[in-house]
Amino acid sequence: MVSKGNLVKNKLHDRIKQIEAEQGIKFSNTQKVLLTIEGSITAILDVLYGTVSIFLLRRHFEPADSETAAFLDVEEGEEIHYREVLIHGRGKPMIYALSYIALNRCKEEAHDDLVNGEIPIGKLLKKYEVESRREIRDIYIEKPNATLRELFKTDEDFVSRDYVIIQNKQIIMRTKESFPISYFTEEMV
Amino acid sequence: MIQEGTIIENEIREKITQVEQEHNIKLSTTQKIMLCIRGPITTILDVLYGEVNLFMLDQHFEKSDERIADLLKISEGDQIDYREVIVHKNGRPLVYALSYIPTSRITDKIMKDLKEERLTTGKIIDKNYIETTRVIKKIYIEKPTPTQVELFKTQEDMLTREYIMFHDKKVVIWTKESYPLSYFKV
Repeated sequence: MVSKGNLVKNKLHDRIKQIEAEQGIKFSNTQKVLLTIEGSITAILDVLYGTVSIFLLRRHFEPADSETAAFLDVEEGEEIHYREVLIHGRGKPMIYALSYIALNRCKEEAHDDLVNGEIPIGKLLKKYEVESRREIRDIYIEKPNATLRELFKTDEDFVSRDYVIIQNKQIIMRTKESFPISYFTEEMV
Repeated sequence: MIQEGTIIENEIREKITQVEQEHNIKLSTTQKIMLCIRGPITTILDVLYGEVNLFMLDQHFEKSDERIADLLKISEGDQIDYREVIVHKNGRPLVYALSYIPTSRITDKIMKDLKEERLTTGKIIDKNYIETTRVIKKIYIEKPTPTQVELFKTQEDMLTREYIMFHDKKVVIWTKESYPLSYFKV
């Protein structure tokens, strides 16, 4: 019997509990894992559901407006790469991800792969040996926009999380991942 | 309409499948997730069990032998911090972790965290904003050590993974995590 020790504090765990209390819902363990892991979400989906695929939906460059500049911590007008992807498994969409990438802060040799959008971010970080850290900035529930309604064929609420990837103390990417609240509700075994 | 996509390769799943085939077992989804996550394992344990506790079993400095020097890519005889902890929930041991940290590669502040605050290594990395790459080196099943037999009160095989974290292209932490094969089945 281990009789003492230090409590391991976890702010994300607190945030999950807060949303559950506010919304009167109970997240499944699978949902909690997908919302709180710091590493690659595709690796988890792969373990849960077998082989998964990544589909590039849209990509383009655009100058950062004031809002984008603020959350990426770049100058307004700086060119940002915008990419939307969908992770697919078992023949259906699983997770939508929208990324804003400060390309000029990323390793030059990774630019083509980043713009191409066919490799998940976690894989790219590994491929190019990028030392980084992730900060999950928020977890929340929201109404779907037109894109999400069209992709997932549902009007139900979505669960989303925002996180940033930081390299050399600068944000290189901000990503939002979303899935319908009824997804991943089966418990893990 | 989505026309095409790219299949994502996952080498960790291949390692897991290999262990399952070698031992003729089926690992649970929870076990697989705990084996493949690159972030702190305590995050997942918190999600599954509510807030968990950390108990320090042993911590001391020692000179690296040939095996440890090879794991950390340091010179034999260089000093390391030896850190052995158990993560538990209400006294029930969940995961045993052993870490080797080359003391010459960490700052005084991190050393203070390691010695005094008794945080998990994952939390210390987060707390100090350290940018890393993380590589899962091995996933395997082994017999328990006497320490593990005493802690978990079982002789059963232990499901184990080894991973390393790099910072400034050097290994800063080598960690081994183990728990009885029957744990995290439901």
